[in-house]
Amino acid sequence: MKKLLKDPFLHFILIGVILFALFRLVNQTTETKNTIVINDFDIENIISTWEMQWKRPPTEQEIQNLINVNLKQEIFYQEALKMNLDHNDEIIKRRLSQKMQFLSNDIAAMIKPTDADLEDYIQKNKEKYLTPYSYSLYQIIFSPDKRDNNLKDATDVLNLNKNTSFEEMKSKGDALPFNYHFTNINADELALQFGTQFSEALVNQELNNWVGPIPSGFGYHLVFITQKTKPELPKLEDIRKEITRDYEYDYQKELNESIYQELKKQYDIRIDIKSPDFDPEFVKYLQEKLNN
Amino acid sequence: MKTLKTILLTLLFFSILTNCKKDSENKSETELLTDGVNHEKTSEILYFENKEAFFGETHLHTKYSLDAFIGGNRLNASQALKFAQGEEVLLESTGKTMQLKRPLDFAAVTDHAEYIGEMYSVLSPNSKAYNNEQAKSLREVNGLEEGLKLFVELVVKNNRSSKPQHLEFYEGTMSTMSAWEIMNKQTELNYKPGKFTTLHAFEWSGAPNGGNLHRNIIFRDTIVPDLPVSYIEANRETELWEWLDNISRNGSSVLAIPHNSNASKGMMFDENMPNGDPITKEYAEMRQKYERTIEIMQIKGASEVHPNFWPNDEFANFENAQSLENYSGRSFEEKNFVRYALKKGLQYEDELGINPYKLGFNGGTDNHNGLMSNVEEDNYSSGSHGYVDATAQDRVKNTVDGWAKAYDINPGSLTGVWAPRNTREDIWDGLYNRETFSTSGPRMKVRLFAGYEYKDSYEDYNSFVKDGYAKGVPMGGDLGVDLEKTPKFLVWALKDPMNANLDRIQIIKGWYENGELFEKTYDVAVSDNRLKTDGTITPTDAKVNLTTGEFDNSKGSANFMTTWTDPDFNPNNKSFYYARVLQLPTARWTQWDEIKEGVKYPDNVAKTIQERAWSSPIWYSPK
Repeated sequence: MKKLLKDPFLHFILIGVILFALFRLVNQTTETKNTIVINDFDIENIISTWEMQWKRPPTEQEIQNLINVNLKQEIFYQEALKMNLDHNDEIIKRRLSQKMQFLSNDIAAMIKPTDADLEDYIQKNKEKYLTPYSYSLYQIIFSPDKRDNNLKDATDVLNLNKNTSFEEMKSKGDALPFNYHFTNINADELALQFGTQFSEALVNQELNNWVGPIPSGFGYHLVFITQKTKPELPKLEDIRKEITRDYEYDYQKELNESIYQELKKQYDIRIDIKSPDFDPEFVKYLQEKLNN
Repeated sequence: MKTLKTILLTLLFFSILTNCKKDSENKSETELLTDGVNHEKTSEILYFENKEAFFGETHLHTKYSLDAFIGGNRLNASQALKFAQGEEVLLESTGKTMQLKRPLDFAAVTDHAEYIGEMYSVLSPNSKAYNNEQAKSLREVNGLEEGLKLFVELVVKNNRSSKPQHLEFYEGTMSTMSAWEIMNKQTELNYKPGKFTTLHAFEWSGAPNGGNLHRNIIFRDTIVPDLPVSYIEANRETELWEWLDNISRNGSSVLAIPHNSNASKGMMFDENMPNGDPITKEYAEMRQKYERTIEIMQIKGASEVHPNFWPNDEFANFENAQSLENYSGRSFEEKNFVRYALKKGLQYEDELGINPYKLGFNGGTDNHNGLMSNVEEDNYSSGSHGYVDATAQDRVKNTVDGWAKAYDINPGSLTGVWAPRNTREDIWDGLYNRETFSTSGPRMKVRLFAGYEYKDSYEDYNSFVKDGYAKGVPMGGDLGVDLEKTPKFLVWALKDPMNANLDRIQIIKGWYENGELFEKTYDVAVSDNRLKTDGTITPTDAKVNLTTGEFDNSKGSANFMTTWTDPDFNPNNKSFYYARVLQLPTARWTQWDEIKEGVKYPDNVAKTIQERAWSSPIWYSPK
């Protein structure tokens, strides 16, 4: 039952029933054959279109002319419909199929996702929303600006200072405009400061020990990681806007597809290609593919 | 069940169609958007007491720019802004995917205001003009040749004439408003205070007779007018400023950023106003009020200096887009360049009491393919304009119509803004206060302060910067006058961690003395002990491997931090000082094309370049 309630097609049907009922209520009086009613809405439309183009309201004479033009178009349009002139017109086809799509988009937009829907969506698209790694760490740099062999210096300091205090360790590196101690800095921010090579190298380093040397664009670093937070899924509240946008976009696509598939079931699609240019195997393949 | 479904669907279709005619308008573009825009919580916005450098784009075109659309761009503002945040995008015209190596901190989409209404019609199946022949031909353009024909017909003949007009299928103001609304909504939806800032913006594309006077218009907040202003309504910069004045009275905070003075045919910094009279005090006031920075470099060349007029500047030969002079009747003139304008501004200040060219520096790409700040030399595989330079094979032989050879184009430049937080207000205020710098692509950072009470040297960066603000002014500011004392300058630069080391920092000084304009360049910090006793410098011998593209990082410096005093300081001269930071040589994008794509560029195309950053100037203005 729960699954059925979530079925986009069911939503579609329910909304359809409601709209149908509304439509009957509102339109009881105007549905007579061969009557054309020009109402406030139409005239407003005609006038605003004119104003857009000419940047002034039309005169009475012009209004009359405009109505005439519209009337002519409407009558020809009605008659053309009766004569089926709209059939197999490529432009009309394209336009109408587009309108079908807009319709389903409108319907998708009517259904606002619940928190449960969004939570579910986050779970299904985990990798897209995972936060980056985050660290608390100390770091010192051995810069080539000031040393002949900064790699060797870094290695020596590492080997000789397994148990040196943080206070003392601070002065072993070179003065560059970076923090010695970072608290809860995420890998993206680290990458902006030191480059991606550095931030990526931190993932596999052991905690609570001086490790390195780790290269960056500024030289070799020794790093002491006190805390590492693995990527995690953010709370819905923190990314609600983003999730809602993504969800609605996906839902729209899903509904579009489901309506199409439902409609397609009503049709028997036959491939009737006899041209010798085509391999019969290919025609068979097409036949199978298109009916799935 | 089957038939019931069919009936219901059909009924639904018809009932909605008859009753909700109005409803389906705008859906093609707005479908991705939700109505309620509420930004995520602001509590986590990081605050930097001594400000931080944020990098971003201030000049980019999407499919809402007619010329970009013709060039095959099918990205909208939202997609371009996603790209700026590090996501991968697909370029429909070539089927290639592109991605930045590092996300940006902020960005503005600046579509040409002229034809966004027309583009709305072209892109919205429900618009009246959607099936107009010209609109259709725009949608159906396929490839360079067809595009070029349409481009010349619709853009060149029209927009570069002295009186531009709308295209034949323009539906009126409403369509322009619709387009502007869509653009603003997409800008709004991508704003993540503290993480990624988007700015509402557009480009006014005035180019009377092909002389480039374009300005990007950038807003501080969401108080934007119903409509942007275009070259069609405002024919010259003076009319643009009047419009800006008008919307400012209605609550907007807004900036105009000029670009490509190098291609302005002498008009960007002309001695005369549009009406032919010499520049007046009122003109200078309006200009300084709205034009706070200039885009000193972009894909169509750097506008700082040109070797023809600055033969003694050994670094002037840099991305000058030399073939600009072969198209649209342009020629290089000294007065098209920013350093000239900065000097000339001092003279105006003396004569009129106000400096019309008090310009800080920012950077942009002007990319027409939707790729925000795609500035890295080794990531230029899709070019910058669309069909014309989308592949290496195109770039070897094609000309960006009316502008320059594709190989003279460069990947553009970045804006750096010093701001306490990455929010719209703070980024915009940084631009307004000119606490900005531009880089030719790499994310190097530069700081410059001037004051009278600084120490001769500093132990660490934090006390250096703290003093910088406490006892003086940052880049973009005015050093107060104290005739008894000599000012000191705090100069600092940090390399891009993912690019080459630094070569040196120079200070470029311009001044006005006894009715004449002067300039001088000082090398204030140099790597590898290359400063000789006579004050000259041995050029760097750092090489680039032309078969692998690798640069030599055994040379150069990661960081400079120094206090500098002007040895020629004269307290009575109006002057300006700006810093130029040079990087060690790296491979130019054309070399990367040769390495990766096996193409061959003409011999006169530079194989290596020295990327650089320019700080906004500090002015000193004794009466």
